[in-house]
Amino acid sequence: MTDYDPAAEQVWITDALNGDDQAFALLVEAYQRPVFNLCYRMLGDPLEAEDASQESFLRAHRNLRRYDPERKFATWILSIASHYCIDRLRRRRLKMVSMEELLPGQEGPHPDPGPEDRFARLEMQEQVKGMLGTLSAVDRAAVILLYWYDYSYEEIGSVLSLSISAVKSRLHRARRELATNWQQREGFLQGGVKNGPSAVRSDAV
Amino acid sequence: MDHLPFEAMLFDVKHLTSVQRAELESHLASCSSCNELARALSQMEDHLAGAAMVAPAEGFGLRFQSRLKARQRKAHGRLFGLSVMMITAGVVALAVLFGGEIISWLAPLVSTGMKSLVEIMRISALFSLLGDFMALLVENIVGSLTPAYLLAGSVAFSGMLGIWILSLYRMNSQFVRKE
Repeated sequence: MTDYDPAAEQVWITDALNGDDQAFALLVEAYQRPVFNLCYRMLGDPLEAEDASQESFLRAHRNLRRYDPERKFATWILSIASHYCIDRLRRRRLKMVSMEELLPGQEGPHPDPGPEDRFARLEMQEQVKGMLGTLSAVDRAAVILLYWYDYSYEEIGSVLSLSISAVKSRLHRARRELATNWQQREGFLQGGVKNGPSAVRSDAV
Repeated sequence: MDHLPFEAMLFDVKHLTSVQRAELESHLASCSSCNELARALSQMEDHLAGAAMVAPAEGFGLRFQSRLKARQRKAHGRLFGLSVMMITAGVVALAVLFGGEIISWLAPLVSTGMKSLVEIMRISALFSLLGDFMALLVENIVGSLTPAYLLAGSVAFSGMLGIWILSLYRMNSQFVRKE
């Protein structure tokens, strides 16, 4: 997820525990992108995602003494962000956001995309947002951790405080729902049947 | 045909044995509904994989720092307010619990203070009485003296006052010279 040296990360954590806010700033720098992406995928609104990711880091800073060094810091911070977003989603209905509301520099890895490219990627983000928006908060978090972070069932369970069987069950349900929605959207039910063994992905979970 | 076991396999392909995988492939070749679901799942996953990880706007770290400082200031303010409240509550609790004892302990001190005040007032009254007596005395003496005695007394008083001022001046001059 990040290219940072684990040893350096441990030093930052130790320094931050000793009250060095600059060391914690380095941790923020290292994990801002994964945390923001998780919040954005969960909440679907860049402004809310910014607020949620800032709040997640503040909570991490406040509770740093509770951090277990045996655990990966990424798992811990993503766990904080996931739970915060789940609580937030439960408190309110997801607000719809127009494409113009996206903050500059948030669309993807390309620094200066052309208008068509930008529009295509914005459209894709909107589609993804629509797809994820049909899932419950916890199922959504599990799907995001699976597809964007490539987390195993164990890691997802650790982040969301769920058992492995619960993760499997939730992912099965969520992925089935996403696939069914996709079928309906693409007109699979009305369209022609496309038989063949190629329908099974070799890399699918 | 029961599709559920194959559907379960479809959503857990990564963990299937080669035998299970062959069974699934065989089923998908003959079952159009499961095949459609498999294809939809594959396309949906490709679509999600195409959505890149989004990054926050520039200056996220700086915004975090300023928010952290604001939060720390707020926490300190809250701590100060809480301390004031605790002290006030402590004082009130002490007053309620030990008010009687504190008053009984303070009573002698208050009594002594009151006595001292009465003494001061008595002394000032005495001085006032003395002042009245002196005024009366001067008035009576001055009233009984002839103008010649008054003049002589005034001259003598003025002379003594002059000698005193002169000696003060000389002492001062000598001190300045020494310095």
